[in-house]
Amino acid sequence: MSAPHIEADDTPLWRRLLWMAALWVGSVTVLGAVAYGIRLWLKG
Amino acid sequence: MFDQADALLLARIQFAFTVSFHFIFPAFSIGLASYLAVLEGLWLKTGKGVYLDLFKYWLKIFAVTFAMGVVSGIVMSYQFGTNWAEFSDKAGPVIGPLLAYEVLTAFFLEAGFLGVMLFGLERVGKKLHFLATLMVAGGTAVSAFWILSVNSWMQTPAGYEMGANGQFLPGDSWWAIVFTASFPYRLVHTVIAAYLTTAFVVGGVGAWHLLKDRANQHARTMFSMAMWMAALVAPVQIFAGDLHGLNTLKHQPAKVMAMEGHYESHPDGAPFIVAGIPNSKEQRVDYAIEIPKASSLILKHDLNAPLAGLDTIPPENHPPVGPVFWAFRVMVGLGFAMLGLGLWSLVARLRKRLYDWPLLHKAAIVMAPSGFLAVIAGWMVTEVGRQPFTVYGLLRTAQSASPLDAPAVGASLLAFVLVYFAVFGTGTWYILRLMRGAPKVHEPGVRRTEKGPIRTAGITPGPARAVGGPIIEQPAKEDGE
Repeated sequence: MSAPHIEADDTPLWRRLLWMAALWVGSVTVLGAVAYGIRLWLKG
Repeated sequence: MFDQADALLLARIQFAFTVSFHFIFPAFSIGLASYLAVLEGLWLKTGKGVYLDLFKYWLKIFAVTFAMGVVSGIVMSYQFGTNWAEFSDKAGPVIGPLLAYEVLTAFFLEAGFLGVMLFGLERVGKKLHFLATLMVAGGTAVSAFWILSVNSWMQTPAGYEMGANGQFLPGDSWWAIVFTASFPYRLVHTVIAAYLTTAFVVGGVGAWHLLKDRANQHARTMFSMAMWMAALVAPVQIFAGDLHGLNTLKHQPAKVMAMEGHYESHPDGAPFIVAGIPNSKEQRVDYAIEIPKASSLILKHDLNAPLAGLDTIPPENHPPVGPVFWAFRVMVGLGFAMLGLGLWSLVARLRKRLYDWPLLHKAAIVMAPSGFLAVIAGWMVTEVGRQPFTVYGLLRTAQSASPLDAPAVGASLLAFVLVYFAVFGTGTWYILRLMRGAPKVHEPGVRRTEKGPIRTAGITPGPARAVGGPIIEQPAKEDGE
């Protein structure tokens, strides 16, 4: 069996790395917002 | 409503309630993250679509589990400040940095790369996506490392100096704080417990779908993988648990006395009490069913070895015996039941009946939640067994609570109970709903940018051909990944 191929593998590396960074920052931001919301709830 | 209640007791109930809820989720997500990494690795190595389908199936469940674990974990961190301010003030200089590392790991490794895992396969490509999966799996393990390091320091404190104001301050080496005497044993025992918890959930879900359709290839694959884990890892866990118990006997003997129900010392070999009702008022176990000298054999590897009882410990330092005694038996009983199911699956495998033995599948379904029950029981043993101290032998629980009135603690406890059951009850219901559906060929979960099935196993991408049209040239690769 050979490794599977998906369409994104043909995208330039710099573009895929940008996507990775964007998704990473987005996820951390969402969690930060959730944590801040809970902090406000507990302080309220 | 809470005017007559004890604020300390309410704070302890609140912590027990929130930590029990919280612990369920990381106990599942630590193992599930590694399982996802294995599935994706197998997909990349073999190209078999069944692994990708299972990856997508469990990824959705992982996302919900992880979200609930993180949210309930954030509440735990904040609770140190709200209800346990004295503890935070005194122990903060030592455990604060370790907790901070745990939070940083949870944010920047686990949560950060989870987004790439969920939405990135068709944007970052398979290798970067696999890297993200490994980061999440590694992040859960690193998180476990730090949080268990903190807990182990509270169980077997070391590497500190006492400040003039009663604070625990870091000593010469942080290594002594991070790697305390009980830490390696607790880390191994807890992480294996998380892997087993996941294995039994995966096995239970696989068994459920096998009962409905024993030809279901996805159900066969996940059931087989789970039963290998049960057969191979359950005995390792029992061995690790025994070593952890011996370590506890050395460093926290009162906890082991409570686990064994030994109110009295036994100079000529102590019995193992299989069952009974601990009676702390009379300092004895009522209706005890005993195996003579077995406790000495287990703990000292000598039938006649003397074992001290709680009569050698000042009464004000006794842990509550009943909860520790029973939680220990629940944990050990479930551990041996897991081993039994693992061995049964080996017999079924040898007889070529692994996918064709409905009684085995029904047993696997019954055992699906066993890991959760075992980790909560184990957590009770270690936490209630540490009482009446938060920092064992040094800082009492009664000296650790915030100076709050009972109504304030009671009101927040009530709010937690209502919110937790609503939020996490809904989340758990949704997870069960996801599990009820069988994994499918071309399991949805990752958006596809091309029409038709994802090209996988052994298909070298050739020139694309539009329906009825000419061959379209493939673009040249521009990267060196």
